[in-house]
Amino acid sequence: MSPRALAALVGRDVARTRGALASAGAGIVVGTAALVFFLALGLGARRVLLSEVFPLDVIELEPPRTSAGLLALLGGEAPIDGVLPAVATELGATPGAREVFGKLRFRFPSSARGGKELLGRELISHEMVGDGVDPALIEPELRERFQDPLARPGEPCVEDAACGRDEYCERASGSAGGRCSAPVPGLVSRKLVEVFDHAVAPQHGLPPVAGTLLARAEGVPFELSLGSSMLGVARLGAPRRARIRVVGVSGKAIDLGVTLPLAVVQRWNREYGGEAAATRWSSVVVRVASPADTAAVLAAGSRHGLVPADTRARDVSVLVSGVLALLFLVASVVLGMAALNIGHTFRALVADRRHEIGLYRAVGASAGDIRAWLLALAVTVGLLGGGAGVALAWVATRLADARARTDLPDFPYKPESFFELPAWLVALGVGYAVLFAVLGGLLPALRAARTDPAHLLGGGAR
Amino acid sequence: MTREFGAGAGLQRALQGVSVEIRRGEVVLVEGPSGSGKSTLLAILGGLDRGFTGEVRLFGEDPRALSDAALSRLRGERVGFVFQSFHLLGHLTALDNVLVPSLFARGGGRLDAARAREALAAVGLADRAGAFPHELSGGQRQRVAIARALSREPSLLLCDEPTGNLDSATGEEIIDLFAGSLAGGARALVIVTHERRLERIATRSLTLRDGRLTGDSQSAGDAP
Ligand SMILES: Nc1ncnc2c1ncn2[C@@H]1O[C@H](COP(=O)(O)OP(=O)(O)OP(=O)(O)O)[C@@H](O)[C@H]1O
Ligand SMILES: [Mg+2]
Repeated sequence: MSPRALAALVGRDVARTRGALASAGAGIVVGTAALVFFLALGLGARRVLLSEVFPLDVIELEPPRTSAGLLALLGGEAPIDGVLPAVATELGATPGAREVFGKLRFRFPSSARGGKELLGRELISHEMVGDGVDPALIEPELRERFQDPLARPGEPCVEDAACGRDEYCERASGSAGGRCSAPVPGLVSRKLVEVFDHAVAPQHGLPPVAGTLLARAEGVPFELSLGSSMLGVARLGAPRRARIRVVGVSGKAIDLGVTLPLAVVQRWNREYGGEAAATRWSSVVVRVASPADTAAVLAAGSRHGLVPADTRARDVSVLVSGVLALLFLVASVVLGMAALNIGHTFRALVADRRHEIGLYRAVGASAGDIRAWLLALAVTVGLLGGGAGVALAWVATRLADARARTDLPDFPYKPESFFELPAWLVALGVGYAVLFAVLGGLLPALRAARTDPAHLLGGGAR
Repeated sequence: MTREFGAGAGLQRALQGVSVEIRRGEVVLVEGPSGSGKSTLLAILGGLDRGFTGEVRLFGEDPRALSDAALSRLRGERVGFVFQSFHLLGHLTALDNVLVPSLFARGGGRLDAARAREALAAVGLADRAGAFPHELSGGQRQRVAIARALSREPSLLLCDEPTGNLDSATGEEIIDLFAGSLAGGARALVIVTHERRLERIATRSLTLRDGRLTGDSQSAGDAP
């Protein structure tokens, strides 16, 4: 049978059996809509959670914190826990590792105050954490502004008053004199900005900073107290102040804190924590090509006694996958029931059309033609139902996003859209709908093809 | 040929050792009481029923040796059926009903609407091409069915009680149509009927009784 003839047959069926086919296809519509909606939601959640909140391709390895704390309690003197640069290099050579870099945490207590320029009033952070990162690792567009200011030292000085307007006197504890220095460039994380804008700022009546932070060419200045905080004073060195200027938002920045050029933190760590604090990484960050490579990196890390700093990404990933699988199952059950329903409808349809099928056979249709006809009808029901289901799901995602924009309070990482509906998901939805429709129509189609055409011939006996 | 249905106690012998040969140009009437096997014979002759034993040749081919597709094509190209209850499709116009066989023909839908219209005109329904079956009288419906059967110019036309559902005047029109459908001896007609009036166009009469062939007589058959 030619495709044209098949199309004519199926077209006439759709026209004359609209009602029955529509009610048979309704289950397909609902099932496909549920499938596509849930998967789009899952993909959207996964996108936000795993690429922005808990990136899955980045592993931060560090010495176990608990044992260090315990040793400190027992021995009084905490050993310098850190990762030797050689170990970091070795981790970078693990198969699947694309990039490795060391992070150097502040090994000294510090606090910060500032933000008046940006927020309209002074903000104080009694505990400030931060780290140092090699500027070579920073996004190129930020790199130039993110350099050690003492690479180009200013005039000798003993106090800030001797320096230029924006400058301060960078003078290490115990040394007789320092050099004037431009404010140390700092980077913050997207996470910090998100949390500030959506959780902190609204509660304290402060303006959001995301836009202005990026727009201000001169950066946001604040003052860092080195060597002392609410919680204590550094063992070495004397407390002093330094000027920081936040120059941008970076993916390499510490989650909640400020990230400075590596050389600066090395200097300060040496000043307040000694040589080892300046030369051993507090943690090593490995970026892998795909999440599947994570295991090898974790194994290599554990050979050096290192543990992942944060397992939430994996936990969230497992959770999201689990929920997705569950929703997929639910949608499949709906589609399975739809297939049964289609089976019923087709069985009735085939019984109704016994004479018609017999006639087709008598005028030249082969069993294969009859099978092809009914399967094409099932495919059509699947295509139409699947298409309608995808459309319905799309409308539902739009409605849900619109509701979320107006009705949900602002929260960190609140996305523009909670959904992701890539072309492959549309294809999957329609394909799945067709699959189930064909499954439902298969047995009736096979039975119809076996219909004995001889019954058409008249006979009181039959 | 022999055709049995069922098995054991329920065994039905629809045909027993019936042996016939039908040649082109013949107009064969098949008569016999109800249940004597007339329809069964037609089904086997038309390649609709392959459950027989014995030997059958359709246009030289053994229907049991052909694939279903090949046998179906043979049916579509060389056999036409006319049924007692017409079997028109209610959702199609007369014209589309005539076009149904072409859906399954090789080259799909080759028979164009013009030829289908000719076939309708040949049965006197040129002006009713757009009518649906429920808008037609019984005789008109059977004429559409005959147009459908003849549209592809079959070598063998098989009719099962074609006038059985029609009043006698209408039946007369149908008989006239058959008389005009002999294609100058290129076609064979096999007509199961109780209709005495058909004898005027018949060349031969078969009589079946309890599945056995009890009569096979040539008749005058003064076909016009
Ligand atoms: N599919 C079938 N299953 C079982 N028995 C059948 C079947 N087809 C025919 N028969 C039996 O075969 C015998 C012949 O049937 P057939 O229909 O050929 O008779 P007929 O001469 O056409 O009768 P009528 O004049 O009533 O149409 C009958 O006894 C019938 O019951
Ligand atoms: Mg009969």
